Amino acid sequence: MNKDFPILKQKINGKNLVYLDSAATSLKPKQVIEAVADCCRSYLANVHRGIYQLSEKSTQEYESVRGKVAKLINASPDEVIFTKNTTEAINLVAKVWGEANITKGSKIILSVMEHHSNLVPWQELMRQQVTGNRQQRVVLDINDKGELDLSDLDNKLKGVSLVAITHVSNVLGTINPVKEITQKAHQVGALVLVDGAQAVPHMKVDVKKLGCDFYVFSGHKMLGPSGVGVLWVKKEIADKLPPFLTGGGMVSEVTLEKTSFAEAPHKFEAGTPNIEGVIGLGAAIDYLQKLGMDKVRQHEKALTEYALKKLSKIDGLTIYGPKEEEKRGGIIAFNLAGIHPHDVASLLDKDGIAVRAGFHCAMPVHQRLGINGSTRVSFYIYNSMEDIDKLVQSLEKIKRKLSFRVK
Amino acid sequence: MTEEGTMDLTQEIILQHGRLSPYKGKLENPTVKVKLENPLCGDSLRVDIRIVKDQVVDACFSGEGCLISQAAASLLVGEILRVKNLNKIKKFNEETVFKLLGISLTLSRTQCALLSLRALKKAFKIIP
Repeated sequence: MNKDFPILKQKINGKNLVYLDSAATSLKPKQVIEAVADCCRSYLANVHRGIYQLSEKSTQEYESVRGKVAKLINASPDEVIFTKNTTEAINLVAKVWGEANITKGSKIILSVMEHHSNLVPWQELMRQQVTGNRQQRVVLDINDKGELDLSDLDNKLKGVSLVAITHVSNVLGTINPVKEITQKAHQVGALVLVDGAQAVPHMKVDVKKLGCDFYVFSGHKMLGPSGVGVLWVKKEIADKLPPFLTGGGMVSEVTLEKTSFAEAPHKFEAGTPNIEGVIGLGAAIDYLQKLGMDKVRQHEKALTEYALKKLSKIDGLTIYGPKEEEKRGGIIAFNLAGIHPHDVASLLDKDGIAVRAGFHCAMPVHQRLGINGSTRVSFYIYNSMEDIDKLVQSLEKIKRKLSFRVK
Repeated sequence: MTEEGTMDLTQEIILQHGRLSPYKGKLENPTVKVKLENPLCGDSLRVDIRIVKDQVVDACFSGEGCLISQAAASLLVGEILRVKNLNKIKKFNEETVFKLLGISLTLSRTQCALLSLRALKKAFKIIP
């Protein structure tokens, strides 16, 4: 399979590249690169605008990806809205749904493990909509195992309008029970937004089974090009929402005085979209579907089990999040005692190993753990047990080099 | 910059200054003290300087951070104490820090290295 990923052929500092940062962005297989190039080379024209052949072909290909996304998450194509990324998808909901529904006295539930993209838009919304917002935001904490503490959920849900929760934590790796949370939230009439940026690329996601109302994810973390994200919104909710950005492509009739808007999903996609990016996402979904999402999950679970076992044997290394691989995605954040995460990452890079260091856009969970950053490895389909062996070897070397020496 | 033994952040000078700096601490009566944070990693650094008649008479730094930011701060404070003359110290720039460190830095690590210099520049704005 690795022969499909041209970037893996290169050497970093004379070593074969070991890419362990797929939670940040994934590598791209040649099938995706080719699909984007082929689109630009042979048929790219603007979509939903031309009568000529190329525009028809572009529109057809573009819209067929909406169908592929829908099939991937078991939704209907007209519920799939293309955005720039997960962040924009959440901002869209915060604006078009939030501004109409979050008023004085409204409550939102978040968790301490949210990525900044599922935290800051809600903070901003509440800052703009209501005063004294501190009481309005309810935060779900984690327990010692790095799992959500849901013991008091029924109580916390009282009077809540929205639950915004991540499906899989991008730091702890924890897979959250979003289906159970959604059931309880719906009992009190709250809507549920699930941040699936770390879930959709790695496991089978069925939005109907989850039952949530909004589901968001990014194409670039699932083998696709950057610049394309997905917002899935339940049809009956989408129909009632006002548009997001306004302009071309999202209208049905415009006079100088007023405008009537197109139906969902088009009313949320103003302006020329990222056509070649969407085409690339289509090729990425084809690639993943051919492998099978269950196989992808199985592969990553095996890697995670192996990595957890190997890493926990390194003296002075602390792993954050659940200890069992079935409770987590292929993400492991850790710290080596007395060594700054940035130094760990710099030295791993010397061995050609790419990892993330710092806060991973999730400062609150680091504050909760009482740490000033962590080093994070994350896996995908192109990773192997050998990659983990190389990581462990390099970490042992770093420990030896940086072990405290007093002359 | 490929194999072990070449210059990297495990260089002895970086390890010594980054972990066992002789210039780490706080001054009792600094003429100026400045604290800065690296927004990328949240590391913080404080530089204390005591000045008498345009001459630095004492300086030190404190805070937590990676080896690069700690070593750069230590080496820079050492250089300040060696040079002493305030007008000459005011001319310190990025090159000064890179020369002191003597290792090549990637773009993101440059920010770690320059945190102490940024603190120093901020201090000069405060000095009466």
